[in-house]
Amino acid sequence: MSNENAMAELLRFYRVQQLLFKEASLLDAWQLQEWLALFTDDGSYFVPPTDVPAEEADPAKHLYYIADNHDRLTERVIRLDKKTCHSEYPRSKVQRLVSNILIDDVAADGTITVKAAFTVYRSKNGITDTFMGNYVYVLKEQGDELKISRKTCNLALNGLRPQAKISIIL
Amino acid sequence: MNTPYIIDDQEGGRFKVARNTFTSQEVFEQERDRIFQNCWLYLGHESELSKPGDFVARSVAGQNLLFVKGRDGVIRALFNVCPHRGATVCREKKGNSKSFQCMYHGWVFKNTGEIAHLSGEPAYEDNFKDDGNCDLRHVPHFDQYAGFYFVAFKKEIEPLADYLAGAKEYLDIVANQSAAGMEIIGGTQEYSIGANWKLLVENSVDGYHAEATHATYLDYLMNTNGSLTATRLAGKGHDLGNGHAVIEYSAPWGRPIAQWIPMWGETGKAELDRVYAELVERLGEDKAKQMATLNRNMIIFPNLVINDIMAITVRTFYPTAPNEMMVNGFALGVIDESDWRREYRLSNFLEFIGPGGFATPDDVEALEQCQRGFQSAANVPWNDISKGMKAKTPSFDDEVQMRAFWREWNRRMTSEEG
Ligand code: FES
Ligand SMILES: [Fe+2]
Repeated sequence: MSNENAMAELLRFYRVQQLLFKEASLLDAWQLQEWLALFTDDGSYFVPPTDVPAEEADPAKHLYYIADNHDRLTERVIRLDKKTCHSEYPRSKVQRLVSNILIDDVAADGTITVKAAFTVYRSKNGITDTFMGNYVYVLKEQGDELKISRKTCNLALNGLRPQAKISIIL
Repeated sequence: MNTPYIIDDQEGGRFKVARNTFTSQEVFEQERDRIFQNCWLYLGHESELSKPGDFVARSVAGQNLLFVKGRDGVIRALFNVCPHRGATVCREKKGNSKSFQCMYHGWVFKNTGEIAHLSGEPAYEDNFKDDGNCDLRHVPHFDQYAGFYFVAFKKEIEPLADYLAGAKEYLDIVANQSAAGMEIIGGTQEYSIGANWKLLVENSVDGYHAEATHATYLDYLMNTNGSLTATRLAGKGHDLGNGHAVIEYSAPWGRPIAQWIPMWGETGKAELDRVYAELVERLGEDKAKQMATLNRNMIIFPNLVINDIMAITVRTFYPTAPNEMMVNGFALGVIDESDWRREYRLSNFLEFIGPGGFATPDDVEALEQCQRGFQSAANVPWNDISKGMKAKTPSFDDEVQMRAFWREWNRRMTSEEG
């Protein structure tokens, strides 16, 4: 690999990593509107079921936990910002750890597919729930910014036992 | 326990439930024997086993069962427990297989349950396996109604059709939504809730809590559909006998069986008009209207919920401790429905129901907060479910359906025979 190519790859990785870390820090701070702004205008967000292999899962054919197009994702953020969102009011404390970032593919049009591992801790009422799994992102250049066009959270869990619910954004 | 579990004062219009029924270890253990060993319990839906060899391994009230269609085409319920020394035989959740091999000493069973290979057979007496003692055991009672399969463990039990009583009529409404039949859609919502299982029974048929608990969901409908005034929340509650109950009501959300909302556009309207016309032709105007426009939340005693609301969910749950339950939620759809309708059905499902929906997480919060409240049971001992007790026709947001459940629960928990 030439030095130039290596620099370009390094830069790309750095931008991706910064985006993912920025996202995690916004979510940890409950800055949900700012988080939503990281998505493209048609950005979508998915949490597939835990009993269907990730490669097969399809939100048009399988029962997911979450399958939000941009409209519903916007509504999810509106809901989470309300006091009447009882499961998250008072708000839980959340902490994300994102790692194992791997750039999986770079398409000719600049679309980047990224995999990463996550652990999300949620504490409320003296109980801490742990969510873990891997993210699959499809990122797109918009202007000179990298935006999230699709985010899938594949849970490495046998169902939500004992977490019960995904009342936060993973 | 010295105090009663319930106070059912019909004259005075008061119905109370003792909060220690949600917290007591003794009650929890008695429920295992008196309720879960003694009732018909939901196992699975016929659509989950379409080909010979299809199987689903599922836990019902804590017991590992195998729901399987044998090579002979017969659907069975077997204990997924090795007759040899007790290991769980099938450790995959679902699939298709001609046989099952126990990992411990290698006994092999046909998908009909019969022993196929007894490893080290020469060391056993001749004819050792001929009397069936090496076969997987059948669950004592196994039957289906409208495609819903149930098991019962007790030796003597009334036939399923009698047990289901008035619930049959409503199961038919769910099962007949298409001439092609209904199917469980792949993907299960599996979760647990840190609350007593009876709280979910009550919550699943509780029309009273919608406006307070689900305020954000109703806001969401308003945002996405412009107005809520078109269809109001209104309807009735029915005691269906034997502890089963249903609420049936109109509501402002869209239903993929023929209640259209603006969000679904003209294509959606044309499609649902076709669906509705088919229903009218097949079932008549009255049935079609009931099926298409009314919502139903139904509890089949003790632990099956079928909610035919903005989508259809089949939900079953059982306690693992007084303050914990395991829940399995499924989506039911019409076989061969268009891609459009399937997609909207699932989209509708997810916007309300399940661990990531706009509603269920708040139900979970409510249930867990009740469970916390019950820690004061010694000092604040009674729940109240008197709403609408003197009403001639109870409203969908009264509490008649909970009273139906609790009367049956109390009868079984206090009867002489046990
Ligand atoms: S326990 Fe299954 S073969 Fe021994
Ligand atoms: Fe609810």
